[in-house]
Amino acid sequence: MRKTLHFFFGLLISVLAAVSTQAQSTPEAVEMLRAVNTRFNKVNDYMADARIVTKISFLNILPQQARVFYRKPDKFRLKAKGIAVLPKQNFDALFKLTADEKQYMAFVTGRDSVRKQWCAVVNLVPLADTGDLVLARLWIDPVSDLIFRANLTTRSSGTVVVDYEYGRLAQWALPDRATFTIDVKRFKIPKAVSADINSTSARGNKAPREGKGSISISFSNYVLNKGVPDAWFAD
Amino acid sequence: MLNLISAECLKIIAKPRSYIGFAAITVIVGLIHLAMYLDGMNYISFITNPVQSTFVLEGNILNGNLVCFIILQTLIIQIPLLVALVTGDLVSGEAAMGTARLLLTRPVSRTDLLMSKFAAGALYVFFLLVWLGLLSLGLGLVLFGPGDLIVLKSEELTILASDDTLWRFMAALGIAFLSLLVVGALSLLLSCLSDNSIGPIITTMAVIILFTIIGTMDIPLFDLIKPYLFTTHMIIWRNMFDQPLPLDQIRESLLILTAHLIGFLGASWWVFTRKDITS
Repeated sequence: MRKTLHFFFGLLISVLAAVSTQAQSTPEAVEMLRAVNTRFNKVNDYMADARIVTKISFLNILPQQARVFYRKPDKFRLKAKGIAVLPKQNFDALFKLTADEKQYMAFVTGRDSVRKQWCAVVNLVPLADTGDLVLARLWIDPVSDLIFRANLTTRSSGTVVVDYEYGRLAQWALPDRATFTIDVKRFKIPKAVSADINSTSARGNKAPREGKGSISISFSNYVLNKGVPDAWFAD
Repeated sequence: MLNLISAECLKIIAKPRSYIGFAAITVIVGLIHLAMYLDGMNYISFITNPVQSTFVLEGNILNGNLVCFIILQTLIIQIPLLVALVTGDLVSGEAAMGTARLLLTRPVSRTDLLMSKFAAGALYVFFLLVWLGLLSLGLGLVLFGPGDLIVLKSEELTILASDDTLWRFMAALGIAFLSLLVVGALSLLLSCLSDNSIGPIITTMAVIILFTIIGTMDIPLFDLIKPYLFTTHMIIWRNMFDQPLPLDQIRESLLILTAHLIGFLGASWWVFTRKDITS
């Protein structure tokens, strides 16, 4: 009996130790995320022109011009000339999350190629269970310390894949283009609300279906670390 | 002919019922503007909720263009009644008042008289639509300012640039004018067949309601006749807000509406020129 109890407690302690080891971030992953953040930490503020191209089955919108403003630590604003459709995830959300190592658990799960570039795949699990983000999978180039792709699993919007393409401002981790690929549900509002009883569509009788939609934002004319007045963040 | 038209216009101006349409439009447009001004964002949140669950809509969504579009959607269904109130009375009103025989003793042809009545009715429709456009778009832009237009459909959204909307509203009102002329011509035909005013007005509305119901129901039998009903093509004004414009569809609808207009006017002429005027 005593031997059996010893064996049982021994097994329990081993399992708990194993779980606690698993629950900690791996040093390799933490180092990579630190390196990524080091680049972005050099950015105090920026302004840039943005061109937003939206491809969503139920949405018919021409490309929009906008201007984006950012100031450390968490002020972000996009001002479009007209109406712009944007993903719910802010562009700096990843950096905000990865900035505090106590907020997440991260581990490297393998290597994968993104646009012919070998990247380490880092899984990042937020420790708080109240946020929108459930899991982030990041494709990080260990040479340039840049995130090339992020696969974000969220409570509100399903899975969002963000592809980052870098150019002149890669050393500050600022992309030239960010393309969000999003799960799109079927759009339907009552005909009485839209008042399009017996209406016809330019698309014929083909109702837009569920599937993937994308929003591509191309950035240009970055103005970096020159100060952004408060007025730009006001409504 | 111009004298005849101005005489018919004066008759329309003199009748109190001619102002019901203008009063109704003023009240309805005023109420929608007020409701949108006080609680428009809640309405916008409700209709854009399916989009806002996944995306963020950035910009001035509640603007004069959107409010004008909502008003047009709501009112274009009711305006045929306001038109029929006047055009349904054009011929039968004379019979009801006992002035038809006196009128036809004047040295003008029945064709000229009928066409002058229709022209006066068309002018009434024109000014009704101008009033609707001025109130809904003009007042909307003053109260809410300009902005991109979100075109609401039950299964899709189209967002049009602010500077791309004015000509579309003008074209939409132009198409609405042709549609309402068809309603006017139908009620003129019914007016030629009747000796009282209420009959043609109510029959016109009954025909529009019946055709609209047929157009709304997805029954295979109705699908065969839907393309030939003028009510199916009266809503083509909405397609002016499609991107890209379905030009073939718009052209086809305009042709069918014009054919109905000519048909109803021709039938009115046939009936009126052969009618035995007894009152």
